[in-house]
Amino acid sequence: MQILKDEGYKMRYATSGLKALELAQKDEIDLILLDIMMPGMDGFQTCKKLKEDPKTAAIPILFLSGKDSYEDIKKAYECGGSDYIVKPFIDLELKKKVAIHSELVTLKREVSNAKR
Amino acid sequence: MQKDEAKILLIDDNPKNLQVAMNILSKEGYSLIYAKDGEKGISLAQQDSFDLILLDILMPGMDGYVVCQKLKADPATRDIPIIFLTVKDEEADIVKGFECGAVDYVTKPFQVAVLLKRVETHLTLFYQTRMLKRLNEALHHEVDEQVEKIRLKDQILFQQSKMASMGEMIANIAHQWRQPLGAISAAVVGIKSRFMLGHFEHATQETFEECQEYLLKKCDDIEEYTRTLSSTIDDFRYFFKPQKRVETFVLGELVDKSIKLLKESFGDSDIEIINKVKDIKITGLRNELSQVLINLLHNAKDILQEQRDATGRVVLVEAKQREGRVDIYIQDSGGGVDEEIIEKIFEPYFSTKHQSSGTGLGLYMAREIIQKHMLGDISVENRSFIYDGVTYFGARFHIVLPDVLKEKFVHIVKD
Repeated sequence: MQILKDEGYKMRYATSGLKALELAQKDEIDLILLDIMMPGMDGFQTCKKLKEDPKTAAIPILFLSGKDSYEDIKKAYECGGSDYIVKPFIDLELKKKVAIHSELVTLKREVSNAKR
Repeated sequence: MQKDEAKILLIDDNPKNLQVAMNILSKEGYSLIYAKDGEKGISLAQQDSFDLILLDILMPGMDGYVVCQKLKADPATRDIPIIFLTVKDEEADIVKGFECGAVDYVTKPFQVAVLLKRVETHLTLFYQTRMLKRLNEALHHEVDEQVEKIRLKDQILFQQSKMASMGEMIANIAHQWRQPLGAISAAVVGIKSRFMLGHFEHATQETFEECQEYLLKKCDDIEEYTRTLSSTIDDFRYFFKPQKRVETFVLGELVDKSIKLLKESFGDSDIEIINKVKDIKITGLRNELSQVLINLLHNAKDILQEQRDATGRVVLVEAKQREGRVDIYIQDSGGGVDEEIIEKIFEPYFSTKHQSSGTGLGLYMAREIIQKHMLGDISVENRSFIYDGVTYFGARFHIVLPDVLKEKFVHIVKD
């Protein structure tokens, strides 16, 4: 979190999948970093729920997980994840990926605004 | 985004890797071109247009980092996103790749889902960027077009109002010429008839002197009238001469001159124009200011003539100078502008006059000239004023000008 705060991003955090869903619906979130292993609802389920809700479906989700088996990675993408970063992650990689996906969000917004 | 429109360049020296990547990506509909070394890759990237480059790090000869740097240094290939292909999670390699300008990496051996997702993400980013750029360009283009349209429209308006005031001026010239022309003609007729009656032939010693005097007098009259005629022409020519430079002039004199140019169209009416402007000096565009003054005075005249039982028809011109600005007030006793339209009177094509007499451009042009050419402002309000012990009510036009207009701000609408 500190790495991204230092980059100037505003951060919110949730300690469970349910809380994450709540936050995503309440607040205007541009990007979600999601762990897989969580008590209760796991990351895959949380991701699926977020993608099912039209209000949160467009928010890109980056999985951040210690699990590095191809099975997990594939599953993450299948649930609608935008990228998968294996922990322990490289700082630069995290920064770049967060930057790229938030840029993509901004771009899509601008393109649809410009079209209107 | 159409997948089959996406063109991807693959640079890898390992034929097996190439084969695998090609298989995965072409199944998705991407069109792929490959190069087996860095040099070939760069020259391909320069020749053709690619939407994405997949680049191996470890290659004989030029390695992936150098290739990446070269691609990023060339304006033709700089914007193509580059994804590195690297052997499993070497942190140093990944960091170095990002630092060289790559947008992402994929580890080998390929994990299909990862490769596809990353390719898709960066293609989307690339296309969205390009689309936004195009939309912005289209928008700029549209804005430019609109600006040009407005400029042309303004030019036409300016031309039209100039023609209208020129027409008015010609009518004025006709008026002003009628009297001296009549006088000249009368003088000539007089001389001729005396000649025919034999006044000159049969002159005695005494009457000869009288005849001489008479002839001289008539010659002087004719000379005087022709001088009037030619000075009228000078006045009008001066009024229409396009002015490119600022000059210093006395405001009171300009007001006098403007009133004089209008005098004939006021005819025999009992309208009184009082010029109370003292010798305030202004540096600016004299002719253009005169055009505005004439326009305002002309409007005042029209309003005053419509009034039937006016106690007095008065136009009062005043001015004061302070702190680098000059305030000019043109006040008439015409009863004022209808409060419902007072906001609109400076708009183009807005006229209270009948179609035949008003173009609706006079006040619009006046404001354009004052604001754009002379960096001032013009406004109007209804108010009462006292002149010679009598209270009148009417519209008051208020012009504010810098008393010294800097040459560099002067830009005249080309005609």
